[in-house]
Amino acid sequence: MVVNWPELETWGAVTACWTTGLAFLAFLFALVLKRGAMTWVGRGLMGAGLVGALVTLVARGLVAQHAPWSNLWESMVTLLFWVLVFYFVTEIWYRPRHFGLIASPLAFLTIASASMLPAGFKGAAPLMPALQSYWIKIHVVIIISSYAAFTMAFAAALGYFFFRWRAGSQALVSAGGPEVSHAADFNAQLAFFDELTYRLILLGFPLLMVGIITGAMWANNAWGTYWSWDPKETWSLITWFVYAAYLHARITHDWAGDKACGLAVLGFVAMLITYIGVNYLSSGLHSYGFIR
Amino acid sequence: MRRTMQAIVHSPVLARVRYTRRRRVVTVTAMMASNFRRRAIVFLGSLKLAIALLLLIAAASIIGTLIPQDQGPSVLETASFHPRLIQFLLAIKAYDVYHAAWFVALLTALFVNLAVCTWLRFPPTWRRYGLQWVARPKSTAEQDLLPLLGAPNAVRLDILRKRGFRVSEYAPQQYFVEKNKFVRLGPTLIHISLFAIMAGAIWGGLSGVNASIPIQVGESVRAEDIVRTARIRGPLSQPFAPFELKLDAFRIDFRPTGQVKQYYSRVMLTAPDAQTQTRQVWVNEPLIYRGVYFYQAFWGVAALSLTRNGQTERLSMTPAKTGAYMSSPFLVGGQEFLIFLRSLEEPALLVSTKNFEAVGQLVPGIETSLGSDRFGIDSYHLYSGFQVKHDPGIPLVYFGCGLLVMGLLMVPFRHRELWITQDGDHWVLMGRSHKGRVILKREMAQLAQVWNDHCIRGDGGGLNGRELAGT
Ligand code: HEM
Repeated sequence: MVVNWPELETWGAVTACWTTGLAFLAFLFALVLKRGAMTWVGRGLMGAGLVGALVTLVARGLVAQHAPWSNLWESMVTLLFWVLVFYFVTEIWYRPRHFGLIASPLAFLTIASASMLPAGFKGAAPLMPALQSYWIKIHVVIIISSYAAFTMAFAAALGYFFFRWRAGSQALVSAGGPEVSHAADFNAQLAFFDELTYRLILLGFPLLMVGIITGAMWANNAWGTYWSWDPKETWSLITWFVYAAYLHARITHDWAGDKACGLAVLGFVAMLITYIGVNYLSSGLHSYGFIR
Repeated sequence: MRRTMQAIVHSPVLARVRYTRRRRVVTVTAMMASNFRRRAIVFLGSLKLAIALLLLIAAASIIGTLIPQDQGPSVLETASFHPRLIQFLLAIKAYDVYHAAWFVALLTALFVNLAVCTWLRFPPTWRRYGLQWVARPKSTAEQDLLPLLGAPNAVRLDILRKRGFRVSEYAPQQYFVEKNKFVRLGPTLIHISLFAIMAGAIWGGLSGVNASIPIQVGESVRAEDIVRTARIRGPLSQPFAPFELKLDAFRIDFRPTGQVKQYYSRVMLTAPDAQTQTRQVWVNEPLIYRGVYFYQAFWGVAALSLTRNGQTERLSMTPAKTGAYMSSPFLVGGQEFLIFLRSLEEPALLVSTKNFEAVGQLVPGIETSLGSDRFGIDSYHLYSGFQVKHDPGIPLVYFGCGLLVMGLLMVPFRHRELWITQDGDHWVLMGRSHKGRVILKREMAQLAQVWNDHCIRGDGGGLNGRELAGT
């Protein structure tokens, strides 16, 4: 049997896009119609998205003959893969309520914006000399997995703010009434999502740091300097410092709650600039990796 | 200074450390002391300062990603900003922020903060690490506390052991139970490794050499010339041991699409006291000689051989702004011309210097006539560019990175401390963790459930609690 890899590649990406989008609808139905079974449908669809992402990556790797995370489109599919992996890790370990409702649109946005990229960012292209190194395989995949962990941390922070908003409106309605236990439940959810954000940042932070270290080693190998303050490096440092501030704030001040989750959102914004924004900002050593 | 610091650390004020109930964070009560120097030291080691510095450095770093950093102040002088803003940006050296005194001062402050903090806060965590158990905290306000339906016995304690907890009986029928204590050494490893990395970077800056050296095929460069023309030469750097590097050949591999696939330099290195070695160098594959690294970094066109009615003459090429090259001018019938080359894959253009209009195209092997002369391109003479680097700080930086990774691997894990003890005449499970209590509480609830199932059924079975994450 002959496998048409380029076709499989497209098929996988399209599947991932549809399934994550439909998963969002399923989670939404589960919440609005209070149908627990729909949550399982949503999880199943997210699982199908994971398979789609994996198929796409394998196919692209075989077509391009290099690690499938070398241009922007490939890296976004890799990001989707890791986002879904960390989504399932979170579901299985921590069983948060309605987490899929927040995670699925983020997954969908990742793959949808990847497929809307102009063709120049997508095609399987050979690597530039500086990128022909085994370091790229290690460095890029670690960095992207840290982005995925931070994306899920962002989702958890959004969950926090969601319950916070609901708790606020609920408290007005039910002050002292029979709904007190409801409010207590909201508070428990708040504390839970706050801590979930923390757990996911504790996962993403070491990944980012190891990613930066491997990047420095790669740079040292390719250019002879391990740190040259190019915009991408600098923004990864900024992201790293914001999350370091988050971790240290949690150690002492009991900054739990609004401020901590706000800092998690700030870290996510810095991460987005590191990942996407920098490519538009200026041209550094990394720019040719993605925009040519 | 050292004396004072020691006196402070061992003073009863600082020795009176308080374990907060939730996390074993040491609170230094010396803040109460009126002594200014003490307060200054406590401030220098504070987490508040650390958080402020981390966010401040992050914010300051943004400047350098918005303004080009390698072109000197001229980028600002010609920018179309408000004059006041330009003045301000010039004053803070925004065109080279990462080397500006104020930025380096911020980094230094973080370094000092880290040093003082490590030294004030971490020894207690090491002492704690040596302890087999700690007594149950007095206050129950911030611990979680769950009722147990029966007294501890071997089978019930095995429920905990099976889940990776270490159980110690610290008083008759009082048990201390913990898991993942090693995690507590992570921050120490991380912080010490940051010192190693920073020390390595500083040492490299002081004693390193970094040069960009173009060499034409057939030519060579000597060690002392490299050091002399180096872009970066640390104040403590040593001269290189003598050697001579000759470029034997240079080759570019193109893909069918015309993109550069890889470029290779064959170099010969001779030294008075070493064997001559010939090596191929390409991007990501440097040549290393006695701690000096030669990286294939760039290449370009140095000259071209032009044939004119069968005679060859050599014209030097200079790079123009856009990455193109222009040759030195030559006369044809009293008029000046030059060769303009956009890239090696495109034909060269024969251009009049008067109006910069192309009057003909040149491709190697095909001749073009201009006036009564016939011109052709015989060959291009390429140069190969090397980044030559000696950085004695690298081993220390890499050592620090290795240590850092080891410490980082511990970060996602959490240390749990539980007590099985009596509250009045009830048995209770108490617990705390330094990384949040919500998830710990769930885990404790599951443990208590299994324990209580055993108490009710008395068979040690009923292990129906779902396992929680192992982290
Ligand atoms: C670039 C700078 C820094 C980085 C990357 C860094 C990184 C870290 C990391 C990853 C942890 C472990 C967090 C956890 O497991 O929850 C940690 C813990 C800690 N850091 Fe830092 N840190 C930095 C600077 C500082 C500074 C300047 C201070 C001084 C106030 C400080 C004080 C602490 C303390 C007290 C802990 C907790 C130790 C414990 O839980 O036993 N850090 N740091």
